[in-house]
Amino acid sequence: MNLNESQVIATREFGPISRTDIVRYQGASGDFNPIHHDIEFAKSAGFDDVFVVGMLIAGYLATFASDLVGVESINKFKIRFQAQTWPGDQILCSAKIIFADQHINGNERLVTLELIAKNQNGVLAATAQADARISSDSLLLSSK
Amino acid sequence: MTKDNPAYKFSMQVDYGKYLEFAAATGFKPKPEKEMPVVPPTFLATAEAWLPPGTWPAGEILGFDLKRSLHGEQEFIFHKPIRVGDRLNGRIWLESTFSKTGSRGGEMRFSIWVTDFDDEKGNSVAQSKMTIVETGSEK
Repeated sequence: MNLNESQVIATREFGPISRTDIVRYQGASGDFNPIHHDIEFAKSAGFDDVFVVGMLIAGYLATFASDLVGVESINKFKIRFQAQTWPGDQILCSAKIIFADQHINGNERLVTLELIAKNQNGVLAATAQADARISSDSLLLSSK
Repeated sequence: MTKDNPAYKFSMQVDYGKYLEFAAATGFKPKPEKEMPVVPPTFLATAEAWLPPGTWPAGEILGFDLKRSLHGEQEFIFHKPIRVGDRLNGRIWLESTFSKTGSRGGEMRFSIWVTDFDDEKGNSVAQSKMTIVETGSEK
């Protein structure tokens, strides 16, 4: 097994995030906090504009992780929000494997992915971790 | 308030329409309904849609000001995969609350809210943990 635990294994871009994308997420999730779509409310709270729902960024990172390891293999997902993102921002995601259990359990290994989301200016928006049980012959574990 | 005496209880159906809506919103490629697909890792955020509109525990129970509050962290743990077609019972409870002095001098209040999700037989299937932070008022 030729695993380099600090190597970026994949990247993906989402956005630019439109106001419609924000509203679509709010409708889907049921979180109607007006600070994400009502500019008057956002201004009254001291912001220049509405800002993106953190859980939309979480959703993008979760999609990214799911496409890498398979949605059914993920048994934990954790995110820490670091900075707000704004309408028009692009979200640049990267993934590393930061842990891979050396023990093979059946045909499975436990891996932990570290996922990072930055905006187009390199500002860190969120960091996340996903734990997954993946097949021990997965290409993710054997790639250069 | 404890795990056994939660602040809110609700019941949710993991339906295919909501799965498609959530997938479209998060760039997730959906699978056909007949496969009873596993939902994406943050799908349980949609539990909010099963609570009365405007439900916001940090405001209702701790008096947090919505305009000064931020979502700090979020975690989901799955004991088994959640699939379209599942019916879940949820309990929301306050795990802990604490304060810190913020970098600009105001008091920052933290609260950690847990939602336990059980299947219809009462088996625990997932847990969500949400950290809500109220920033200082000197802003």
